[in-house]
Amino acid sequence: MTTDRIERVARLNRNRLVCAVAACLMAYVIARLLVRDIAPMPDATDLIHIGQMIAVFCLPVMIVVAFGVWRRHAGLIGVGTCGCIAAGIWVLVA
Amino acid sequence: MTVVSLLVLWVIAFMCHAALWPARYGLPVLPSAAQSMMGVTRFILPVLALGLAVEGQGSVMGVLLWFAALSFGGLMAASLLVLRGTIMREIRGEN
Amino acid sequence: MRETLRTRLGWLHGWLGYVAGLVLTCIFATGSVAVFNMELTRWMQPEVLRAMPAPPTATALDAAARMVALEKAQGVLAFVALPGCRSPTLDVLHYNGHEFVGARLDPTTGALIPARATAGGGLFYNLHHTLYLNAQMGTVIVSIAGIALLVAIVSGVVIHIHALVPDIVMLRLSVARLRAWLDAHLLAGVLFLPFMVMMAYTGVLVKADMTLPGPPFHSMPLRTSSPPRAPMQALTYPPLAPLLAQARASLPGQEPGFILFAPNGVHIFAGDASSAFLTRDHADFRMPDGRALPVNTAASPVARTMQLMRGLHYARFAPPGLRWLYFLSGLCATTVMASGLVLFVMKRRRHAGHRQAHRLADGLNIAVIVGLPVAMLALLWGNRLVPVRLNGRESWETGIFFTVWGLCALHALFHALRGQASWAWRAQLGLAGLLGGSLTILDLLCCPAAFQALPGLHMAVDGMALLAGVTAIYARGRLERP
Repeated sequence: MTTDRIERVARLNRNRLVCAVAACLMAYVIARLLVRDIAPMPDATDLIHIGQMIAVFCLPVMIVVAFGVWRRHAGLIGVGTCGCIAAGIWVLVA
Repeated sequence: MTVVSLLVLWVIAFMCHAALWPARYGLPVLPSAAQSMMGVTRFILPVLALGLAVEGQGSVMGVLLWFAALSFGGLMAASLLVLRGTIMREIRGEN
Repeated sequence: MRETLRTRLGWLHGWLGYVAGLVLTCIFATGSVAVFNMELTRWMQPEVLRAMPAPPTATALDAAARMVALEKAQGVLAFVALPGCRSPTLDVLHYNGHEFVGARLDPTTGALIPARATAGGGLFYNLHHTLYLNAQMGTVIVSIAGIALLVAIVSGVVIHIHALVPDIVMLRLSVARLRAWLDAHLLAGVLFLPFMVMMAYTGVLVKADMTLPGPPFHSMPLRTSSPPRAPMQALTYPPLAPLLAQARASLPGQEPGFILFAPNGVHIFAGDASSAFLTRDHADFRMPDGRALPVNTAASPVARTMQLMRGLHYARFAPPGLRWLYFLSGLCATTVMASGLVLFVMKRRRHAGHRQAHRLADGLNIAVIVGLPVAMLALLWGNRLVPVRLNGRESWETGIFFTVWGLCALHALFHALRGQASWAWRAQLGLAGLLGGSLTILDLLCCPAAFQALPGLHMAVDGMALLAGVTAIYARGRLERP
């Protein structure tokens, strides 16, 4: 392998790693916001469970989308937008 | 008894599925009439199995058993295909 | 290098799958065995010879209540587990920080059965849901691994989507070794996809209060890692037999499973085996007169859904046949993960085989794929060989399990880092074969009476160990072929 190719592969792997970590963190924050949005009251057990069911379903999908759709970081931006909407709803409800 | 029936139905369905992809599984090519019959059987048998499972075991147990039969039926079908491939290779080797 | 969705998700599937796979293989292997945790405990306590459960008599229940009161006076929070199909004794149990342990009473006479103290099947159950760490940290790690599994499944499906349906029963053992491993990984992965998704989703969901909690102030009380030691006031309880009869009447369709004792009342809970919905419905009785309080068994649709999720994951409702299907499906899911680990290392061997990191990965694979089964078999051996009356016997058994696993890991890493991983594979597979193959003989020699009293149970456990041993020997033989 040429030095140039090795460097390119190393850079690609570094980018992938950073993107994967960012996707996981972002998806987790959004999943938590989702639970809070669906169940704003602490004693709404049923709503908390619904929120958790949806969040656990969405979390892996969000990670895959945020990481997989890489062109111009469309996945990260898309999932991030969902996160902003979720945060906005949370602020409004709060 | 239900489990055995479900397994048999799923194995037949998977074998029909394999017959529809003869090149991939190294099976003889079927005439088009037989192929369409295989296609219908592949669709009908799992539905029949689901009905049988839910009817006999209730919804929760029935669905669980149906999925379990899918998994183990698939494994059995794959094993049968491997066995067939091995036998065919041996026959060809003898010839 | 052209970046496509497939290459990108392939990278995620490979790396996330490998790192999480090391933990997930342990979680799935121990979870599969934990499906039979109570049966294993029975095998590990050969002094309990009763085969069929009997309804507990008033004498036995009162003896159990006295024992609970005595333990409470010593600061131990105990409860009574009623006899059922899977455990025919009346048990007075407490949580020791890792598992439920305690005394076993004869349900007819109430006499204490002098059963050996054992880690039992509870060790596998504990390893499955907390990795034998403290309750909170362990559960969070296992939940993260569960989410990683879901991510690996979603990415795996996207990578394989074109051939998912056509190749659903494709297995080519006669082709190159890498291709054959990949076929086996894909075959089992696709066929057991519903099972893996169900177990991962329900597993993460039932513990979601720790990873995805609701709004603040709703913190679920966590089980503390050790019971309170402060002595409490000894309490006397009303006769339990009439309360049990009343509870049976007020929990229609559900058989009482266990009795909890609080300072102000007695709570009789429905057994988990009653239905696929793990309801935990209970009949409450006021202390000290034992007057019945109103029973509420109504649950909202969401609560029912959560009960079903719990029921599906814990599988305590499952009759023996379905329990075997859970066990075998779990083993196949473990095979998916183990084959993924092997593939990860095999694929990189040509380019990176000389690197220490690659050798480390190879060593870790051996420690997980062979070391864990060896440790499990060693635990069963330990159960038969550690003296019955030894103090802290259950800790000895746990110690044997972890020591053997640790030694296997060290052995694997030592050889793998020197570039002789195949030597470690062969040695440990041989050891697994030896331990598994000869467990039946050991069992027959040490506990002939138990074998005679419960032949089905002993043949099942010994047979599984034998099967594991034969598989290990076969795999060892395959490794020696060029």
